[in-house]
Amino acid sequence: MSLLFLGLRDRGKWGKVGILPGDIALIANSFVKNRPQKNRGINIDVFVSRTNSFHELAISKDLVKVGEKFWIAETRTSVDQNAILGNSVMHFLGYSEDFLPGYSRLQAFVLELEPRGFCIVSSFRRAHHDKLARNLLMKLYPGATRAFLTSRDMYRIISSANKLRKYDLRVRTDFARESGEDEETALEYHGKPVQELPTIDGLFRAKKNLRRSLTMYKLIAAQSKIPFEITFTGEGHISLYEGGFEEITSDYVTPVIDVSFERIKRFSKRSMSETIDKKPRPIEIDFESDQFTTAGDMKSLIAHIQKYSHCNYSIVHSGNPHLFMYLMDSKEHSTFSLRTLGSDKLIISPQIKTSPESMARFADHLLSLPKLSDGEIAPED
Amino acid sequence: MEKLPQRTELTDEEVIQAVASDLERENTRYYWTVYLSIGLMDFLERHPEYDMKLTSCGTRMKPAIDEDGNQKTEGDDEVGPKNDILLQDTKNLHGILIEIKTSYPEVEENLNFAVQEDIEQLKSFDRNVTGWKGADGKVSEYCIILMPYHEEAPRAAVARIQYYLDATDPENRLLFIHPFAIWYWQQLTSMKKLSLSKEILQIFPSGIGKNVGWKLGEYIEKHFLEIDLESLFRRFDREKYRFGREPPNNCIYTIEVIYFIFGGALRRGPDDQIICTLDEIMTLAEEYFPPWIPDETKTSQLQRKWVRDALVMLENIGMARRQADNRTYELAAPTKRNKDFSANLYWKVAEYLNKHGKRGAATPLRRTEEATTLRQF
Repeated sequence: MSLLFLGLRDRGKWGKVGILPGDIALIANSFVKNRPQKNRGINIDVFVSRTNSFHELAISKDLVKVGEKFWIAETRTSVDQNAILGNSVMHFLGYSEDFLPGYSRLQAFVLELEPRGFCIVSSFRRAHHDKLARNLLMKLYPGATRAFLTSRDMYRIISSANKLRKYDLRVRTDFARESGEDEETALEYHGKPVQELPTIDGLFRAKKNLRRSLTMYKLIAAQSKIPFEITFTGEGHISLYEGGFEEITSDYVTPVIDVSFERIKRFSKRSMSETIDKKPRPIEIDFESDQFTTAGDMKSLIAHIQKYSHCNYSIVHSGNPHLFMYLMDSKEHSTFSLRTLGSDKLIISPQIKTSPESMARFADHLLSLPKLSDGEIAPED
Repeated sequence: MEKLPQRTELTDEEVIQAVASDLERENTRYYWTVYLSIGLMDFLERHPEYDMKLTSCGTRMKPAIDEDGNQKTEGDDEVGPKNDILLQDTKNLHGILIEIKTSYPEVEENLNFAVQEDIEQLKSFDRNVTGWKGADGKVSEYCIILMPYHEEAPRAAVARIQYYLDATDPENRLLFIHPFAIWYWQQLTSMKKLSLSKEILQIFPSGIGKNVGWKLGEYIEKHFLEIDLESLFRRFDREKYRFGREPPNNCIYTIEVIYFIFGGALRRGPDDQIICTLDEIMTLAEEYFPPWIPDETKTSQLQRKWVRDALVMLENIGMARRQADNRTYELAAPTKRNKDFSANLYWKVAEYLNKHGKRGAATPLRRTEEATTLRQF
């Protein structure tokens, strides 16, 4: 019996939802196999939470209430001994006809993998999947946050999966974004046979030379009896075209949760009200190359911050050659400051009360700017 | 110099915009003063051999001896320049007066005006700096450090001032007469090109050691005064210091501190408004921003009066209202529409000051008149 199921059995409100035993691995794999269109991948978005599990969040946010935009219609708990999915819980979603017209109820579910992470899986068209994921995140905010990976995190996860499966993964780099540009760049690899595509190591070396940040990879197995093809992005989105669901879960989804959770943990206990000496413990983000050298760099950084929907900011000093600004998370009212240090560092400094999630979310937003996606959170000194 | 016809008609919006720009510059300058105070303290802590301490920020210097070397009588109201930062040795024999200069504006007419303004200010320094009274009333011998921090090479800025003086007043050799140094912001990237491992601020000497026969002056002459910028920024973010002297009386800096440092810890109302009393803010201030000198409330970083003034200003500009008890304030939550809180605040304060004549239309009008004249030159 799933540990997660034991956690939700005693919850009164959960009584509204049908809880059924099932073989999660079998259901998930048949979900992939029976998707409506072969050329449309299964969409997976990974989320993490620091304090509450998904079902606790769902109860607190009344996600079990039928009649909203979407709700939990049915919950499946595992009866199998599957090593990867055996301890998971699957929550099938229902959605109103106004919100997502034309889809049946069994086309999307939330897979609760472990207390700190879950993913939303659907066979929707990408735009509709994004709409559902975005609304789910808004509903659970600030309890859950989207996973986020730097290009180095992505490289580590892909390399490790590649070594484990011996797939000889190749990369279609026409899906990789170039640093400093929002538009996708069609590099010279487009249209070539799989064997001629670059390996993950080769591409990463080339990226270093080109100083490019790759935030989206299309990975294809060149040597595998079982076809394998996925798209993997730095925002924790996976499109699964070919491959087993369990494999994706163990090789990609779980590591993404682990990396993202670790990041949130690194933002913990840093505000002045949480430290013993009542001094803030700032977070430092290092970049491989110079990013903040010109007034234009500062302007584009401020423009990017302006796109962050959950903050107000106050610019104390801009340019010449540093930037210093205060920020306030409008959802949680956490406050922190941002400073450029030299031309290749950013410092996020918490104030009296700052939640780790608000800083992590903001840091993730900063690093989602393609040219900054190489940023690494520096170890504590 | 022949003056062009003066432009006297400005729209309300232009006037407010000009006042808002002034407020922004003033606020930035204050931030830098605090920051550099910490930098200098940091340097002096690491170099106890120089026997100097930061004695005041933003005080008015008074000449104790007149131009002819005679002792001035008490009650003489002649005043010298206002310092941004003042360092003195422990025997009060010597001091360094530091003047921080903001960036020159990009708009040509404002730039010319700013140069003119700098010259006016430099003239107040253009006197014998032996025998000025410091903040403690003691008479000392001072040297002056001018610290511009703009993207132009600092020498270019000095050259601009000198060029202007040469053209307008060839007899006036204002600069470099007295012990005088320029502390400038060395472009960080160019410093890196010189393979220096650390980013530094430098005091660039200009005859300082020749005229001032004391240790730090000699040191600066020989070695420059170096401050490790990276560690300074890190310290600024890790320390609890936010105020080094009285903030500008437009209250903008204090309002920013209330919202962005204390805001997270204050109560919230149903519409996300901040609910607070002056006492609540002061309790947090005492807990998290202790006095510079322990147990000396006079050196409290955040004075009660500054917070009260800021709350009153927020009320005046319509961003706060008092509840029935007259003690509790409701501060408006920043809106999603106006994410740039500071820009909004500059505008609102400028509007208020302009409307109530506290900073009135005089500033921008004078600026335009002067700018018109200067453009001709």
